[in-house]
Amino acid sequence: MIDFHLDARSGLAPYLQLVQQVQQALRLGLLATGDQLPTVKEVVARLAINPNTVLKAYRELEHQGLVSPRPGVGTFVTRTLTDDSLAAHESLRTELVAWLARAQHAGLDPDSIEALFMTTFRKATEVTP
Amino acid sequence: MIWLTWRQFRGQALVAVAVLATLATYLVVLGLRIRTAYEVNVDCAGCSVETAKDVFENAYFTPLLLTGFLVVLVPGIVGAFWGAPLLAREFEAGTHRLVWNQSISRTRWLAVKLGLVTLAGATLTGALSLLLTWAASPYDKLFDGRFDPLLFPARNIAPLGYAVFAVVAGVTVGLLVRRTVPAMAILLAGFVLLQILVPTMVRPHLQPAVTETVAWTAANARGLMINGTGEVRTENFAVPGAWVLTSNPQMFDAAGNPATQEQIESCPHSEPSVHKACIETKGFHMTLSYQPADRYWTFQWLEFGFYLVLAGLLAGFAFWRIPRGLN
Amino acid sequence: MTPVLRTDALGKRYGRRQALTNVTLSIPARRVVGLVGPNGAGKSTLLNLASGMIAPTTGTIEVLGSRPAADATQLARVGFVAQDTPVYPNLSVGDHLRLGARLNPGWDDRLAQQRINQVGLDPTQKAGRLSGGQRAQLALTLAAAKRPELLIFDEPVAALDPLARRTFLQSLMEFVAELEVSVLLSSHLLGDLERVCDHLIVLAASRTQLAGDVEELLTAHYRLVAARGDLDPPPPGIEVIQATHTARQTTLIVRDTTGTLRDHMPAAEHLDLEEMVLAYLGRAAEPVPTANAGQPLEVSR
Repeated sequence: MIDFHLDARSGLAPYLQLVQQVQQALRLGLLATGDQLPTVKEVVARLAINPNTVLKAYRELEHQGLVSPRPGVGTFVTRTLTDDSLAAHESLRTELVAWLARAQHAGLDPDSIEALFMTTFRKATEVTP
Repeated sequence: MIWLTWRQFRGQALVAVAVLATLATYLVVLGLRIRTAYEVNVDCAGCSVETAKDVFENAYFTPLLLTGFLVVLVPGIVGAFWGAPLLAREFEAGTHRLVWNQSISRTRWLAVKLGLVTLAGATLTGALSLLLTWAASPYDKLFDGRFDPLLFPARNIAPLGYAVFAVVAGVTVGLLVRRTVPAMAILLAGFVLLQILVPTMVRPHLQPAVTETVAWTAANARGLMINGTGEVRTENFAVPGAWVLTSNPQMFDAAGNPATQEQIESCPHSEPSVHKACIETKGFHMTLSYQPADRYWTFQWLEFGFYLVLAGLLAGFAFWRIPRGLN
Repeated sequence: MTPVLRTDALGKRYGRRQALTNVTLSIPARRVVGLVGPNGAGKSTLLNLASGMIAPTTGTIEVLGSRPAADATQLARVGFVAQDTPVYPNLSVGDHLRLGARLNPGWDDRLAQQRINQVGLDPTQKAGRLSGGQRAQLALTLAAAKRPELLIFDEPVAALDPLARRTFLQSLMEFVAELEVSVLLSSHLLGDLERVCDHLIVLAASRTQLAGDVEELLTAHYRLVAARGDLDPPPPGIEVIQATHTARQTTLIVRDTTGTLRDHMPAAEHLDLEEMVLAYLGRAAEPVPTANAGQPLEVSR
């Protein structure tokens, strides 16, 4: 079963953090179809967060067609994200490593690299959400 | 709520039961001894009442006086140690904020607490008063001084009034002061003050006194005194069983003129009894204010009622105040 | 649905000190409401008014549609845990549960026993010997097992260490998930409440500075950064909460009152909860500018 965590400094709304963690687990194959997500009470008892936050995250996941609730039982994974893209991960990672090496070579310190990456990433995702 | 009150009160209640048991044993033993002494010294052929009085006074005056003090003091102690902390301790520890948020109104909370503790205080005091009244009854009968300021408040139902008042007053003071020790001190000071003020300023006026002219008799007089201006006064003149309010009244002769030093000195005063008998023949009289003996129970009820009314007023205030929150 | 708390021009004065001024609020049901503000801002006063421990000087207050502590029925509907979580030091944990069972008709003994076991409290232990965290757990159990519709806590975690703080909030959130209860809790530290509340009231200088659902509040607040002078005058439809200037740059924390800010300022950034609250607290601490002297601070909703 997936274990949630919250990062107070991420700047991302807590419910979105939960959504992303499920998505990531689905992408990485940590969660498979038919797996149960922790109950709201379990998440709340672990993270000390508002139950509505968990409900909202689960509703969002349901809306994305990734999970579906079975009343009185729990919430279950209905679809995974381990599609063809998993195969592409390796080559993309290699390219990214090469890019990082170039950036370092150009004299960027880690903070500058991160800033450059994040601004570019944000701009790119804003245009094509 | 009764459970909680009992749970908080049971330590004090156990102490009270222990104290009561000890004192009750003592009073029963004392009462039995006094009864034996009465049979031996009074209910016997040819016994002198005067001798019996001497014997009784020597043997029982001090124990009865001290237990009498105790019976008057117990309400004060109960008020200070049960009444005053009843609310004050809750406020001091902040626990009123716990109990006021249970599903019970503050009025009921106060009613149960106040009711149970008042009942306990009255029961304790009542039991002691009853036992002392019983134990001392032969002595009291012999000396016939039921209105005596030291006896009156320590017999029959008057102490019950003190107990009810002291507990309610303690609770009300605690409600206002909200701190235990100051509340106890204020209650005790107030209680003692009332025990001084009521006998001197209130009790004599609870009923209009009887004022009449009484003949001077040797049996009812202690002595005579002549002051600097030549006025003749009688000392501690007693009316049987009554509460004489006039102290040292001036004496007048049969013709209605103030008695003179010469009239007194004309009697031989070698032997006190001869001197008194001689003076009695001269027909002196005086004007006295007093509360007659048959008013004893009226006064007991009035005293009881007076304290009960005070307690009622204070309780009324507390019940008015408590739902209004602590502002 | 009846608001759990509704106040109208509520004020409370202690002698010459005005503890609460002109507070008008309406809190919808089924929220976890955080009441945040510096020490002495009036948080305890507001909560004590809501639990009926004290009476207002001016204005009105209604909790679940009735006057606070009006009668036993109303008391049963609200669970209040006062500051420093008072307990009877001489009574045991078990005695406290018996107290709860006897004084509350709706007492849920199964829940109470289960909670006490779960947090590892010994029923025979005297409450006076409990640690701060254990005492808070006992007080929480006592308040929750009476099955109220609204739970109110005054600074529940202020005296607790970080672990006890976390444990307490975990327990509280479990109750919320299980009992469908509204919660109103205060803290002088936003960090304590950030994770748990979905509705926020910021109180400072005896007045409400900000109140609303957290999400709506976050959507409506932005940081605008521009070269000095570019934001003078500020764009229409916004309220400036805080303005800071350097020689070259102006930073505004603003509230978008019309929902159109992004249309003409796409670069506007959202704030996190802490920045937003700090902006309001900063504004409350500033002396009111002379131009606005006669105008009361806006009570936001």
